[in-house]
Amino acid sequence: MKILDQNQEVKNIILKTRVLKYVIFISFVVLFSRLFYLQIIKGEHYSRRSRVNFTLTERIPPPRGDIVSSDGKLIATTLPSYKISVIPLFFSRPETLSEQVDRFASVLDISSSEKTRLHKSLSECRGSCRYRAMLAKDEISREKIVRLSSYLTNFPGVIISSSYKRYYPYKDKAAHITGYISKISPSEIEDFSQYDPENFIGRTGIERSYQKYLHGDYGEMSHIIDHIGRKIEMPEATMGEFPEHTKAKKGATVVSTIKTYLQETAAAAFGDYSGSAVVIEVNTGKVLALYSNPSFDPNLLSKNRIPARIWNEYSQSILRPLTNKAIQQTYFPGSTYKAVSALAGLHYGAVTPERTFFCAGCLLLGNETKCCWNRGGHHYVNLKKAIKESCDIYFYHMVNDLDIEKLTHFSRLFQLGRVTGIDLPGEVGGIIPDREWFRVNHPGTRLTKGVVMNISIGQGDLRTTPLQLASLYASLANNGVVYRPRIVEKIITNEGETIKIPSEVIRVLDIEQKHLSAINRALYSVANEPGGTAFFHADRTIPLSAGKTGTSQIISLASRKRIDPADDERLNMTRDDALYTAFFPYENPEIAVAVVVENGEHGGSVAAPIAYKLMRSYHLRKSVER
Amino acid sequence: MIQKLKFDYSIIIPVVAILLLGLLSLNSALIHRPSLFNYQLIWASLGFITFLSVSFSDIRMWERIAIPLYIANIILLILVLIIGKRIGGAQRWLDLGFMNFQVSEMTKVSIILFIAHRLNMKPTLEDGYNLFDIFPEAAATFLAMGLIYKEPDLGSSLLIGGVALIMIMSSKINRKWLLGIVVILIISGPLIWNFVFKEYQKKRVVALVTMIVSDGSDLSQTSLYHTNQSMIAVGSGQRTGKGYKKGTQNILRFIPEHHTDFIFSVYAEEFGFAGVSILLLLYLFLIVRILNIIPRVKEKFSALVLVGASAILWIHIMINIGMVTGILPVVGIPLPLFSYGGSSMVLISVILGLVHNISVNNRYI
Repeated sequence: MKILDQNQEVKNIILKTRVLKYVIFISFVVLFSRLFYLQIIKGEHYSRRSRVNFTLTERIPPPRGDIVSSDGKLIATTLPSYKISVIPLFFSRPETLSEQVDRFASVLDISSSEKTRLHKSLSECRGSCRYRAMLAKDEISREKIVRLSSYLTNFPGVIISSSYKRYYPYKDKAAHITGYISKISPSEIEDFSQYDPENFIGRTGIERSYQKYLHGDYGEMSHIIDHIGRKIEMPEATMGEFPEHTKAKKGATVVSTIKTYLQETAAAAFGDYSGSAVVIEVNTGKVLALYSNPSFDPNLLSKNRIPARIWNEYSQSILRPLTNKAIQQTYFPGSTYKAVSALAGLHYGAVTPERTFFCAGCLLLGNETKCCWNRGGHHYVNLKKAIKESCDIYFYHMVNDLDIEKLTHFSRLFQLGRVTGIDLPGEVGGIIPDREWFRVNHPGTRLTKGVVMNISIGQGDLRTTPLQLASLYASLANNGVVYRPRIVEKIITNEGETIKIPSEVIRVLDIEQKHLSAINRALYSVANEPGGTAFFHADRTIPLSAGKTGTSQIISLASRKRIDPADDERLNMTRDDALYTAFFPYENPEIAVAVVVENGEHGGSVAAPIAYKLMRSYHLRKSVER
Repeated sequence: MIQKLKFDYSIIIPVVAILLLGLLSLNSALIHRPSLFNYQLIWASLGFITFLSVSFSDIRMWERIAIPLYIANIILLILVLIIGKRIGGAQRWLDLGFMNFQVSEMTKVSIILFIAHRLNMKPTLEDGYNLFDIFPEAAATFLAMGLIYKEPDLGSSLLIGGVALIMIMSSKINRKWLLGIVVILIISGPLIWNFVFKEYQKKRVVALVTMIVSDGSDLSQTSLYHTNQSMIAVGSGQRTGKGYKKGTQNILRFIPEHHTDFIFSVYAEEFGFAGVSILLLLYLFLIVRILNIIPRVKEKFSALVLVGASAILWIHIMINIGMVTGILPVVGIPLPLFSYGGSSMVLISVILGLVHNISVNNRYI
């Protein structure tokens, strides 16, 4: 076999490298094509992705809008405040963490539980969390920040930033109107996905029902971040296309219909009594006052963390300060309901204004004895006297000729026992017991005459809210128009646009004028004629008004007698509720008032004076304004 | 005999140009760690001295030490497995005090010299070598590959195999046996997949193929984080790049290993398609230039060294840029003259020194 010489060997290699060169050339064409594809064809796509990599857009929370009363007072506003956060990275060495947190806590003056919480969050913080600011203390005043800032320079990684604090200048006096705000809880994050998880939202009152207007618009600020999410200064990275930083826009101003002076009058008038008062404008449905006593201070609840002591005090008190009793609590309307019974009687022809019944104090009904509140009896009673002196027996006789369905139908027309649809959250309806209601709730019991008699005087299973009663008397005063009560009259957006919230008529009742006049004359006599149940308690130094007292039994007398006389609390809690409903003035009525004093015992002596104080306050302010 | 110093500028100019572009990119990539850049300047100087020393040494000396160098290399590779330094899960380095020496880089030189020398010693038959003739060379290659694979460093191991294969194929192989080698390569493919590749390596390959097929839309593959960030860097460079030291993927450290294996993506991001075109043309020119010296040489050893030198540059470039641009799985292969690292710089200097030596000494013969 032939052996190649050196020359031939090299020639052979040259031949082979020619092939190799082709392969190399093709491989470079592949690389060029790939780079052309990535950089030229997909260049825009990868540019966007690199931008996504380094861009972090943060939302700047807006200040919450103000809530203003119709007399121009701020009832909820947002104040600037400061907060102190720490970057956990600077607190990350476990051996010195406790000492660092101790020193930090003593400078900030935070409670020991807050300190423990901070220590725990810091020691559990891993990964990119270490670069993100963690809240240490908020709601710090300007003066305090100035004082603290010199100490804080000793701590690396401490950030002072501005924030907001909700402030309610009227404290507990308008608490159930404004409501309060608190942080979105972890379980609600999905429901409020449009907001930051750190956001505060309205919990009750206008804060809740007008949340979307009050919140405002987030601003946006973009930052450049590195691969682990740290903010970096690198302006050239943006290539001049960075999204503009937009300012946060403060929420809209919500103008309420309420008058702060009436709220203050109500708060002062209730004193230690538990209960509520509602004042409504008869021709619009605007709520001028809505006060529930005892109340709470929303300033104490609108915090990052509500102190447990305050929360327990409010939530466990038997007087239920957090409940808006004007719309969330139902009561027996008692004798204030007699206006509806009488009107139904007239309307369906069961009585005429002239028809009289004899009240002997008690009435024998089969084996049951039904008595009037006045055991001495009212003798001959016509419609006017029945209302003026609040005779029960008159109505017992009347329902002999008035079917329960007619009575309840009439009640429902006035929106009694139904949700009125006021723009406040958590309103409850109540009960207007008709046959269907008894069938569902008390199956098997017979709907006896006695039961219907109880309903006719506002007892039985009847339940209404104070707001419904105020609305009822407004409808009596305005010839039978039922307005939807409302607490907000307009919204002024941050662009200056005004959204007016118009009056809404639920229905116009088809009642004969003479029937209404008869009832209203009777209501007038309650307050202004000798013998009227409110005669001695009426304030006749202001224009005269029409009204009705009510004293409703919470439990039957028999049950009450069984209570251990030593059980003071139970005895107190079962005292009769005192009610007074009115419209003012009698000539050309402007407002309707409902006052319920829980366990107040006497509508005339306890509830009526509160109602008169409200009417007087309204009248005096009105005279000044004129 | 005192040699007159002669230079082949057709090699020196592209090499210096690539080296300068590399230093430029490293200066940007090491913006947060300037001390490492100073080290690279030291490596570059060391490389320059090495290049000159090798350039003006006697090429016969290299042939004489080929076998001892190979044996020493094997001993060092065994030493690495015993007392080597572990960095990031792999035991590839010997601690020399002033630097960590990556022995597999040395193997890249010694295998070229070894195979060139062995084949030079073997007279070529007219119809080529059969498999038994080249068995010792193949065995020596597999031994080195195996030791490097154990470190583990699959990339370098396959790279060395590739260089040896190209060198052996460049000499004359019997046609029948050539077919045999091709068949063996095809059969060994699945075997290597099953027995050599580790689970994570298989995953990388599968993920890569999935990504290429789905056109990069599947970002959820965490095993492709490196590839994705690198592709974003390269792609976002677009036509002319984001500007020197303005590459966001680089400066904000989204590119992993951005001063070593992924340095190309830093360059591509900041200088764009224009920049990478210049660099690729320089590399292509250099590789082809090395092969074009062969017709001037009159003996087999030098010719095979030149084949080995261009092959090793070529394979490095293909694997590295292929990996950075997302068409090859991530393996730790540096970009010659570009990536940070002393061992790689010295190796490339030795190889280029040999090339320059051969070119200069065969010019006027």
